[in-house]
Amino acid sequence: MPLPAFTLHRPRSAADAIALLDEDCLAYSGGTELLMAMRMGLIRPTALVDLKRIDELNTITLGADRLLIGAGASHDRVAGDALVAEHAALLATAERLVGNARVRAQGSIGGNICFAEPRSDVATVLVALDATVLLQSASSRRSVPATEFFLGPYWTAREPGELLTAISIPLPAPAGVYLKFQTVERPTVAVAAVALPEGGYRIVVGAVGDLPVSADYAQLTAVDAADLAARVEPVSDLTGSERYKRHVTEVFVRRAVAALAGGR
Amino acid sequence: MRLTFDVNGVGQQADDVWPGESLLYVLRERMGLPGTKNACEQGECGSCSVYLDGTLVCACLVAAPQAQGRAVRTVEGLATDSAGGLDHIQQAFVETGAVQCGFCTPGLIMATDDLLANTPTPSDAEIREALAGNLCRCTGYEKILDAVRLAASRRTEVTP
Amino acid sequence: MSVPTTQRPTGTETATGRLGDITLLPDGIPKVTGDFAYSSDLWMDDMLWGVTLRSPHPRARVRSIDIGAALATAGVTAVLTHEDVPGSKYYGLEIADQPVLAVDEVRYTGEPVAIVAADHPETARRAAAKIVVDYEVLDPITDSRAAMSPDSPLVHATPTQDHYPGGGNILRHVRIRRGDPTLTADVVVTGEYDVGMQDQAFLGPESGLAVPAEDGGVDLFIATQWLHVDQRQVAESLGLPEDKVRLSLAGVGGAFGAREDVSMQIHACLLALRTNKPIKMVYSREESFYGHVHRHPATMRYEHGANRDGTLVYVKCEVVLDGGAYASSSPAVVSNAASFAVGPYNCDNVLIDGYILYTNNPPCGAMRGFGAVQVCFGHESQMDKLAAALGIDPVELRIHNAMAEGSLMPTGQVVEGAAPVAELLRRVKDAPLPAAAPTDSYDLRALPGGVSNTTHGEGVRRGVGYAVGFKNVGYSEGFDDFSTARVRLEVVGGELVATVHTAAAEVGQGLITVMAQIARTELGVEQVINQPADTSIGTAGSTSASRQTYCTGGAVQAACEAVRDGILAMASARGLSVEGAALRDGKIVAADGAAVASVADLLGEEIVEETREFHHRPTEPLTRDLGAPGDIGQGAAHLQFAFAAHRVVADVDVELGLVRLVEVTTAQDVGKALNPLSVVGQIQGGTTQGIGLALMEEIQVKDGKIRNPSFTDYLIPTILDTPPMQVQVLELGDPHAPYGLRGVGEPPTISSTPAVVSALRAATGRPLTRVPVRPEHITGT
Repeated sequence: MPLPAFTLHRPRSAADAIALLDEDCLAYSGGTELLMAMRMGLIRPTALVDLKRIDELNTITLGADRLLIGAGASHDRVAGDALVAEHAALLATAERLVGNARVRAQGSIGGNICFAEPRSDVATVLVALDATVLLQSASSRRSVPATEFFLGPYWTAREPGELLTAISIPLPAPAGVYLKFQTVERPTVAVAAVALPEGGYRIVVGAVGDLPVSADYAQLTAVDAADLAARVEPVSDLTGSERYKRHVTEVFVRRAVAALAGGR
Repeated sequence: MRLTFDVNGVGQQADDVWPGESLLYVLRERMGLPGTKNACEQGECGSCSVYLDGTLVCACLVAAPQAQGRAVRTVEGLATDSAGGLDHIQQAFVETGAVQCGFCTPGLIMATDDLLANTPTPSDAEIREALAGNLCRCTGYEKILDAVRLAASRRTEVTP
Repeated sequence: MSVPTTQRPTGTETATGRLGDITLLPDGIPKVTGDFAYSSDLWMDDMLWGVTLRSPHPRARVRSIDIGAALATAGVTAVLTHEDVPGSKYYGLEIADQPVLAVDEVRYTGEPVAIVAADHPETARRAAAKIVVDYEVLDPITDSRAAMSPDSPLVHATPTQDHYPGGGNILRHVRIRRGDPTLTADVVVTGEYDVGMQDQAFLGPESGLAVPAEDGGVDLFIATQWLHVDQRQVAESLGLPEDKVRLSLAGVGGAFGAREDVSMQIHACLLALRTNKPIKMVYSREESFYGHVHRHPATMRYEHGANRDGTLVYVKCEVVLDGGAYASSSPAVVSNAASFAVGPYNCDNVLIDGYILYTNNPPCGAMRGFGAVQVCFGHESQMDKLAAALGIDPVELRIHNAMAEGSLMPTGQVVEGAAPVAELLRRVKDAPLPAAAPTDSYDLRALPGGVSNTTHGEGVRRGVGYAVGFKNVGYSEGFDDFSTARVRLEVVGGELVATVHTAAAEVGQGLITVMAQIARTELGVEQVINQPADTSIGTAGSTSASRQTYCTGGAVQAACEAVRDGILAMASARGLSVEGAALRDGKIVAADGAAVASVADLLGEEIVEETREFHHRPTEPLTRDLGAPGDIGQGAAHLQFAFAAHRVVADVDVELGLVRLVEVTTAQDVGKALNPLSVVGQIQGGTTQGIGLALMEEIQVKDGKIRNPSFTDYLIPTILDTPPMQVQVLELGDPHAPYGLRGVGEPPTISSTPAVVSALRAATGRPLTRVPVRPEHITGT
């Protein structure tokens, strides 16, 4: 079913793309979420800016103290990249599990987090890794921590004229486990449990509520799964009632902690 | 707009394409290539799987202008050189009874082609994972697994 | 007797098999190359696109419809409403209660109100959105119990009382009484069970192409299950004689009951005749969920009484099926549900009440299993419960009560021929069990939830469950669902060629393969051409009720026999002795095996062509429940019975309520496996649909609206959900049926669902009285 008419721009540089972005002109990378939303009439941009010809958005580079992942990199690309595997293995794990083969091939990591579907593998892990996102507009650049970037369902801190250019993961990145479960194409609950480089542990519960919930603990034994599950606000839907989801959250936090403790 | 792109190795052109049309629509309604199917048009069923510059995508989720200047390969373009007109995956699907109504078949064949290109001797678990995004309502998937195993075994015979 | 349970290609598969050979589908090659023309692939120069405007309300009066803005849209050629229907404004399979386009009231969300033709589908859609309908929204009648109440408002203000007097919104009430259900029993077990609304979810959308003809008629290329019943309804609504309405079968992308009712057939033809252009209509997936009937949701109350030794004393059952807004095939579905409510067990004392209702919920009708699916969940759940109450092994309890040849149905009908209930159960019970799950396995794909549940086997319990079920084959209660076939034998290019022509709908089950196999076997010819199905030949009846191989196979066999008689007569006329001769390998072969003549030589330029109808032996209507005493739903209503049993092994993560099926074994009697590959394929496919109903499939309706009309939220099993499936095929021939065959398609969908739930109960100890089972039911949260 065709979409309403729009103009498609295909710039070759991030600066050119940024010059075009506004409320009615949206960035278009993989399009797996964008086109569905347009088809359902949820958004009606008059123009799209195709980012796929902008090389700088598709690079993954290692800095002195950070790993920079271009926003245009596909899930498959991130999942299979050697630098990601070495320095931020948890992200590679999560990326390998996103959606299905076609979504992973076509969808971009930047598009995923800008769309901000609450049931997100990527958001959960980025919060665990203390990642920041790099936003660039015609007049400024800023770096926003993941915890401040996600504001609610389908709502981020990105302004209409801003392009998300990269995700920055501070190194050394925490290592740990990523567990999730889903019965449809998106996770019902996702838990990232990591050992922080400076000591202590972080448990992030994502996908089940509107935003990821993160808690740091000095010891793993201090993690109270029931307590953490109680802090989450699950959304009742066709995949489960609030009560069931809270129960599942508790189970997963417990299992994540056990997995982390067991060194898996 | 005029869409100029490569389809199954041949340069093609489609005129009066609406920017909002999907690649699936263009292939089926403008290029006379209805082999790629429209079972859901929501990216859920896999029946519209095609290669876009070598990557397996859902044609229903690709806006037609995206294909400008790029190479598309569909099920109609698989059997390019083998005698008898079928490639080994297509042949295996026919022989094993993996085709009932056949509506899912083109998408499954494309997904199998992609799987075997990346994993020439997949385990059953790997096959299931790779084909998880392709819905079939008729077969219960058992004979599809037979087909993929058979195609994999023949592929290794041909390309040692 | 049994074919191997795993079918590996042996290299002997051919496209030219005879009966019993593994034979490849003749349409397999175009299906794998993408050349096969499904109804949504049809294309014609100059064609316009048709689109439907549907009601957003489950119940409303239609005060006015303003098509002005829509009609004025550039690119739009026609906008039609009920006023433009020249013939009958109502259609229906059993009762003509369904408006072609809404007249004064809409009765379900999604009911068609207007249709638009334009030069681009998007133009047509946007124009349809400009149609202004003034609705007076009414409170929908959505609760079954409330709808049954005599005080309830009526879904149909003037229900067709003459057809099935039930009163009010009760479309049909079937009563079956036999023996003395008031007897006492040592042990009594009661239960209430629910089955959610399943969808057929075929992959090929509703679609077709209607082409106006020069004679003022129309040619319709359509994916359907029964060309002639579509033809009748189209002709009646167009006000045309049937010979001006010609239907041809386009490629069908699955059916499973959802293509028995008219969807876009009349609409496309109306637009074609109005615009004088070919009209193509293709439903989107979302529209498809609204555009066809679903499986009836059911609530059932059962009471089983048994003696200490396990012998059933009585079974009482009340089944309430929600038929939704229009009748469709509901009257037949409730008859089936009631007839099979006890299950394949001997029980002399039964009291069964089956109700089917009108509500403002989505209309329900045929889906593979047709009423037997719902009650099988009921009676098999009860048998498990009874076994537990008696302390008897659940399979032994079933075997103890199992039907056999000569048993009586609750309807009093004698079960003729083999009824191998006990054997099927023993086979699934004795089949080797899969190896126990390794406790240190970190292969996520081997655990409940698979790759999407990335935990490691904590809290996983395994359960094994069993179920057995049966159903009728063919139409029931006196309906003569005959079939017609024309077979022609001639020499073309020096080679003997048989052409088979029927109107039977091939929907993927492999019917055309079997028809060719029959022709090859009966006529001894290798080259068989299947002529496309259309209405130029007499009816073949519906592709449903697992009846096509029986009825159309029977017609093809009869036509072949007539052709053979013709050949033999020709030979005899030339002085050849043909006593007891047959046709084999292109020759007339005498009874002693000697070749008498070459058929090709005999024929020369001549053609032998015969058309035959196949009528199965008649069945009887159930004595009608007209309220008079003594009417107890008795009669030999069914043509043939087909039985299947399942065993399911399931691993359950009891903390999460996630299920992973480890293995499913099916044993089924198919009478004779005409094409072993297709038979196993049907059994595996049907089992998978049963798995879907058990674990994940439900159209969720709230206040008459469908909450999940998409594959995102209506989940059907993927390859990650299906386990390895072992199939054991029994061939206990039915002496009354062509080649001894039994219908295959439906039995595997019937006992699979309760077998899955039985395994989950074994693993979890939870009662699980509703399907689909949700994770919350297992965790209890």
